Amino acid sequence: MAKVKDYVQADASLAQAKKSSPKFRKLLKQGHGAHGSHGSLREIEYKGHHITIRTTYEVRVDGKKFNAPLDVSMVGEVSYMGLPNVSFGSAMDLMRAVIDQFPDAFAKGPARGRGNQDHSGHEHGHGAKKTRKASKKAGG
Amino acid sequence: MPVRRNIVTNAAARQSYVSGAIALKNEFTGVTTQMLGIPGPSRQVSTWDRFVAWHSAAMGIAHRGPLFLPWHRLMLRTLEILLGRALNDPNFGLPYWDWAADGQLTRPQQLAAAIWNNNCMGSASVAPGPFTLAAFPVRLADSGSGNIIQANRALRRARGSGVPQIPNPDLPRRVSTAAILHASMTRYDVSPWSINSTAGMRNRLEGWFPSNDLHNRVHIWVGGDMLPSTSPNDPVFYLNHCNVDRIWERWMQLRGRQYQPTNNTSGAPVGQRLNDPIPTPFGPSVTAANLLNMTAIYTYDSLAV
Repeated sequence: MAKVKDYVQADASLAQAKKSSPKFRKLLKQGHGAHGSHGSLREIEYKGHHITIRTTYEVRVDGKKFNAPLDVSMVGEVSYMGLPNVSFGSAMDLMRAVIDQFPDAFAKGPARGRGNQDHSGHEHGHGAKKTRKASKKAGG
Repeated sequence: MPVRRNIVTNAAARQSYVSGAIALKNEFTGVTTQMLGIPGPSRQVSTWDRFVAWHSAAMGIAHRGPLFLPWHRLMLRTLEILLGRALNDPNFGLPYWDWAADGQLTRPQQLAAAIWNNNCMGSASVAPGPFTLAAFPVRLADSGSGNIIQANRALRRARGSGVPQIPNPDLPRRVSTAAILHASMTRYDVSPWSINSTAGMRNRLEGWFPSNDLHNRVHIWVGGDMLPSTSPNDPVFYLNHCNVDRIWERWMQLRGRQYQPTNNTSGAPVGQRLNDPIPTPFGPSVTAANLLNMTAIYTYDSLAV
C-alpha cells in the first residue's frame, strides 16, 4: 500500500501554468482524439455458444451526419461522451436530449454546424482510431 | 490539515468556496486557448477553466471505468491546493454537498434546500446567486460531441427538470448510499471494468448500476452545464464529487484501501490499473495507488453518508 504522502502537486507557481501548456495541449489532443468508435461490442456465453453483437449507429439530424459515437451497454442502454453521466433507454431518447442540451449546434442558419456536425477538420476531431479493446470497454 | 465540511451547515466553508471559485475563475496565468489548441480566437484561459478543459479531455479514462474515483480525487485535491493558495489558506478544505440528505425531502423541499440559497450556489436557472455573468462567465463549453468550443455566457442549470427519459427526477436517497456500504459490496471493481460491471462498488457509486443513480443522478438533477463533459464549469460539480469522494472514503474505512484491477490482472484496461500513471496538466503524474490513503492530507468532518 502507498505511503501516506501527498503525491498531488498543483502548479508550483503561476508562471508554471504557462510553462505546462505544451503538456496540457498534448493531453487535450490525446483525450479528445480518443472519442472515435468502431461501435460497441457485446459478448456473452449461452448454452456453450459464444455470442458477439457489434452495434454501430448512423445518426442524422436534418440530413446532416451526427458524428459523435454512441455506445450501447450490455442491457441495451445507450450513452455517449457528450452527456457522460446519463444512460438512455434508446438512441431516440438520447438524441432528444442532445438537441435539448445543445440547441446552438443544430440551429438553422449561421450557427449551424458550429458544434457537433461536420467537424472532421476540427483539431480535436473524432477521426482517431480506437482499439478493439477500447471499443469493447466503452460499449461493453 | 484541511478538513472537508458540509457546505450547508458550515458558513465559513461556504463563503471560502464561493470566494475561491470566483477568484480562480478570474485568475489568468498567461495560458491561452491558442496554446491549448482550442479553436477560435486566442483568449486567456483562467485557472478554473483549465480544470474544465482537463475534465472534458479525460472522458476516456475518468468515467465509466475503475479510475473514476481516483481520477476525480486527483482533480479535487489539485483544485483544493489552488483554492487554498488563492484564499491564502493552506488548510482550506473543499466542502461537500450531502445530496442524499436532500434526497430524503419532498420535491419542492429539494428545490428550496439551503444549498440553493443565493449566498451559496444560487437558485436561478441562469447566472445563479454569486455566479453572475460578470463574475463567473462560461468561457469553454461542450460542442455537443465531447469537444471544447469557446463561449461567453452565463452559467445554466435546470434543477429537477431531468432529460426526456428521466423527467423531473428526485435526488438520490439514503437507501442508495446505504447500498454502497452494504456487507455484500466487498470489491472495489470487477470485470469487465466498465459500465457493464454488475458487481463492485465503483460502478454503483458512479451511477451506472442501477442506471442513472447516485453520482450520475446528481448531474442529471442539476442539469444545464452539469450535463456535458464540461460540467466542472458549475461549482456544484466539485460539491457533488467531494461527496462521492467522502462516500468512497467511508467504504474504504469499512472494506480496506483496496483497488481493482492491479497491474497483474488479466484483461484489465491499460491506464486504469493500480499503478498506471494518471497524467495531469498541473504536475507530475500520480497513480491510483498514490491516492488510496489521503488520511494525512485531508479529512472529512463526518463520514456518515
